[in-house]
Amino acid sequence: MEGTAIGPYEGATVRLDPSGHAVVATGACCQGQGHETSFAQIAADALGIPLEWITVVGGDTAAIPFGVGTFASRSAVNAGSSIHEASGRVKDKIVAAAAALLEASPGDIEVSEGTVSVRGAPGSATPLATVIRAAVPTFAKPGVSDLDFEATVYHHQPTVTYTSAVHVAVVDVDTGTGSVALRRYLVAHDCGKVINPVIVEGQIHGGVAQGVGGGLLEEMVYDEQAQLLTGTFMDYLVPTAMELPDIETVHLEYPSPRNPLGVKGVGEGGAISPPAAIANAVEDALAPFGARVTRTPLGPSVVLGLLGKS
Amino acid sequence: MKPAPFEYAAPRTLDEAVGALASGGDAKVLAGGQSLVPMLALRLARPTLLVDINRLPGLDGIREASGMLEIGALVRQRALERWAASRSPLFADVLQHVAHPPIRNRGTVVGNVVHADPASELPALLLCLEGVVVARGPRGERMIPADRFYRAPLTTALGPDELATAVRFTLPPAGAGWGFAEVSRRHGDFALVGAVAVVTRGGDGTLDRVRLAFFGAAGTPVRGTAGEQALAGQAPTAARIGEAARAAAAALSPDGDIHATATYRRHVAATLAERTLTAALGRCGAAR
Repeated sequence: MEGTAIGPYEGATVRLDPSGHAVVATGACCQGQGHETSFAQIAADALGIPLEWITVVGGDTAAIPFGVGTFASRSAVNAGSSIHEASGRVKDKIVAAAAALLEASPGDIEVSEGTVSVRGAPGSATPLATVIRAAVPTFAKPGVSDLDFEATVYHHQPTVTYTSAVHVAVVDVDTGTGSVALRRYLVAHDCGKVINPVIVEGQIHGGVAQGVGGGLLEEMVYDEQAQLLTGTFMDYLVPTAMELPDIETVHLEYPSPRNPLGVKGVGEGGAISPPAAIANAVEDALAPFGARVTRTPLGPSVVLGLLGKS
Repeated sequence: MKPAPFEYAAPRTLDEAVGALASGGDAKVLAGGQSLVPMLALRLARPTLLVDINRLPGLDGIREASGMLEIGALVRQRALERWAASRSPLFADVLQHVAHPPIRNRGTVVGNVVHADPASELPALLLCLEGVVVARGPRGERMIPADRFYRAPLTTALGPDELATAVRFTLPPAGAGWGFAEVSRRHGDFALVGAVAVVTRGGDGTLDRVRLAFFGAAGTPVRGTAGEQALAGQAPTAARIGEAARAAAAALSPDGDIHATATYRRHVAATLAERTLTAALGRCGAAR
């Protein structure tokens, strides 16, 4: 159980250009976890335009002046909710312009894949760009609506959302050498609504890899003069693909009631549990020896020590 | 970090290369660069001259003749691995534990042998197979047996003006069995400790010839002489192999470091010696 997505807020500005394409700006910068994709999905769904029409801008104060940042598994919840709400407001403006242009009730306007139409009247289908152009004033007449297809929303998140997961490690312990090999690693987790399954899997895989490092390899070692002995990646060992089994995941989607998307944080969860899961698996494997694991990383020298051999 | 300044020479002949090494100063040979270049970057090595031997002719051959395998100074580890795939499961197994394929594509067999990292696999294999290093210097060529080649960590009998032009392994005789095992923190890392064994059996089933070598267990690769002697001429039983392995390991004086204690290395050396000897015995009569 992890309190994820700490507030207090994140913001988003969503703005259409004359072709109907959108720029989504947020203070939460991408660090490689696929914001450009996940945020574009949120905006595309809420605006009714194709995914590829959306450009996501992160961390540019010229595009949005206020922001907090990406950490604490918070961006999908805080920035994602802002993008969802701002996109909804821009869509309301599209609907208002389209209702005026197509002479229909706003309640009957549909926007889908960049095309605007009146419900039940397929012949009314009009490109979004045409609707926006109709809002542009000319010398002959004003536009059909305000020439304003932009909205900014700062989502307020008073506390956190609660994410949960169970990690299962299956290990082989070589009692002759103390080597620990991961045979299987399984994660069942609930991050609420999954925006993009591949990105969520990637978050979990990367997190588990980091956690496996903490469980088996990574350690800051100092000598008696406080000199760091693990100052290069030759000595500070991070796991490679060779040390990791295929990570098996089960997604349980219980939407959060605390934000409009129903999402919960997922960025850190993968990294939290592996040291405990691996330590418990090693302790279980060594139950016949009465070994008690109280620290990680469980390098071979440490494991043989647990067996009283080193 | 970046390397300290150095001069660079790229000779075209062996004589030029040896001349460059003998020209004074602190010269280092650059072949694959997989150990030297990181050491330069960390400034653990600060040579004044690098002699790049990659343009020298005739050093890229793998030759097998009369029970010997000669490997030239420019043969990449990957080339030997490819040779071994159809010729020697022992060499194939050992080479798969040397770093990773991208490193083996550039790193040379001879470079690995003469770099003399005590935790490296190939020096221990050379020792186990009673190989020699072929050295060329201003006074001509000489053969240095493996058991006199390694003196201390990263220190060999090679003179500062000598170039190792080849290494020669004595291939295990027909019917010999082999075993190889190591413990490393991650795949491709230098071993915490490792062992390699080659044994042959006589017609009466007793052990005829036993060769055991350790790496990562001392300042140099070392032969497990006590274990070899305990088994030679004996009928192999599990108990005898275990005793021999423990005797061989007891003679070791490993160092401790942040990855493993000295006690760990000695203890696991015995475990791995027992496993490699047992595996070697099981493979007697199979392909080498």
